Amino acid sequence: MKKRVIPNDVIIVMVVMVVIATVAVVRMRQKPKGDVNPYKYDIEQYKKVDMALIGYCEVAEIKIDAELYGLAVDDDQIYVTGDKLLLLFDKNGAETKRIELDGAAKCVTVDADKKIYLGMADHVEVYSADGNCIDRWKTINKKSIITSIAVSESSLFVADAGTRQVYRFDKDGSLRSSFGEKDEQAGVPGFVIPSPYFDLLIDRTDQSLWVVNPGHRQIENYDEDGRFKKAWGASSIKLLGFSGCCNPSHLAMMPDGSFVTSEKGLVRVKVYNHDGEFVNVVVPPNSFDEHTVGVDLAVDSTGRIFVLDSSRSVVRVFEKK
Amino acid sequence: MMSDKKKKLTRRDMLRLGLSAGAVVGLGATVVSKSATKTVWQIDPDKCVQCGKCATDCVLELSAVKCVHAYAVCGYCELCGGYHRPDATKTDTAAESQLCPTSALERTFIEDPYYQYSVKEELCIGCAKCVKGCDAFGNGSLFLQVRHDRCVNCNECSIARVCPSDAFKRVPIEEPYLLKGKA
Repeated sequence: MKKRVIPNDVIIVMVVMVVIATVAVVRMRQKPKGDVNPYKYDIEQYKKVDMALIGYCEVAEIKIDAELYGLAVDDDQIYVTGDKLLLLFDKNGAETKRIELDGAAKCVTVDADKKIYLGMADHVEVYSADGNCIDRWKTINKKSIITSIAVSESSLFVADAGTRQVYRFDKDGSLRSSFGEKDEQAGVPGFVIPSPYFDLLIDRTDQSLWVVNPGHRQIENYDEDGRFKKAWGASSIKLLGFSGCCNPSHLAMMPDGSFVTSEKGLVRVKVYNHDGEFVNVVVPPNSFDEHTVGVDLAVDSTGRIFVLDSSRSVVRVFEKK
Repeated sequence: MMSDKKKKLTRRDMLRLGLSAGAVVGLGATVVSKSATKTVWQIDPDKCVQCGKCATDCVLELSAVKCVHAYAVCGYCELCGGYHRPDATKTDTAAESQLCPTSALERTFIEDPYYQYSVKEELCIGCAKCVKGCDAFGNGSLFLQVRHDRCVNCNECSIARVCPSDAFKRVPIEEPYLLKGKA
């Protein structure tokens, strides 16, 4: 029987192919190593803001030795709530009054008569300008987490992240109505509140109510009976919109009706006009510490923007450039 | 000068001494080895900076580090910072919208507009992209843990060696996991 001989060329080609296949398999099985990590997720790029878009500069700060939650201003004073504390400052940042509270007031507002309304966990407390407790309203709901309050001439509105509703009270504490509960039959989508940030304010120009719907990255306008009128806001990592799952976290209004918003996650403070069009940046993300949350806002009658920086325990004051 | 009273060591004595020393060394090694196996490697979620090295530096082919989910902390959001790319234009499940390089994070509709997110461990490579996204843009309910059904518990963990934030530490085998916020 004749013996078949494999030519040398074929053997060489086969050996080369085996070597190439082995090297390919080994290289494919190797995990990427070295200085460049292919899985590194760089979010710093989203913190960059064009300096030309920053329309405000920081002019002052009020350092406070406490854990801070809520902020309000009127023509004379700055009101700050902390852990079991209500602090009053004059316009120059000097502390004028320190009031001990029974619990944590997460939000604060002041009416034209200088009555101070505090949003405690599940109820509202009312204080006089000299720091005496005038009234303690009933618990709204055992599940309540009051995150914002705003006062108009006749009513007090409470945003409750626990029940995902807005409550309207008379100024004597009587509950008049509530809205925001999801009702599919009535076509009410409800407020989407994934985290305890749910803000509202009274419009300085027409006394209507603006409520943040954070899960939809929108700011919604209602009349005082809770009837929906309009909304603005879009979801975007870019400056024009609101980033993340649920923003803006806080809201304030300029004397001309422009909105000031703050976001959590990618922490930034921006101004939008009354139609919801982006105007400029007040505080860029790189001006906050990492993991800063709960940046409450207030604006005085001259347009100065007060930013509560809970991470640094300061109230930062910004003026237009 | 050596004392006459001192006995010379015989070969038998040497053997006995050697055996005793061996036994002592062996027992010591067993004790040390036992105490070493009473701890296991784990990641402190409060220290983890989501650098991505857990995916690249484990000795295993597929890292023993996996993403886990604290459902109680999750907002069940439609737009999830852990699931969606930050520049995603749609809040859908398309691959180009997803942040996870292996689609290991699965989303399930619960009720409008809420979704549940769960981790498919067999696909998760422990890269922490979702953890960083959830931390930065969400409630921070996702975090990394060493899964002990996969980890071979090396004496010197190769990930711990390169961890930039010293988040890797040995924990008692009786409590092998460090839950977020409780570590």
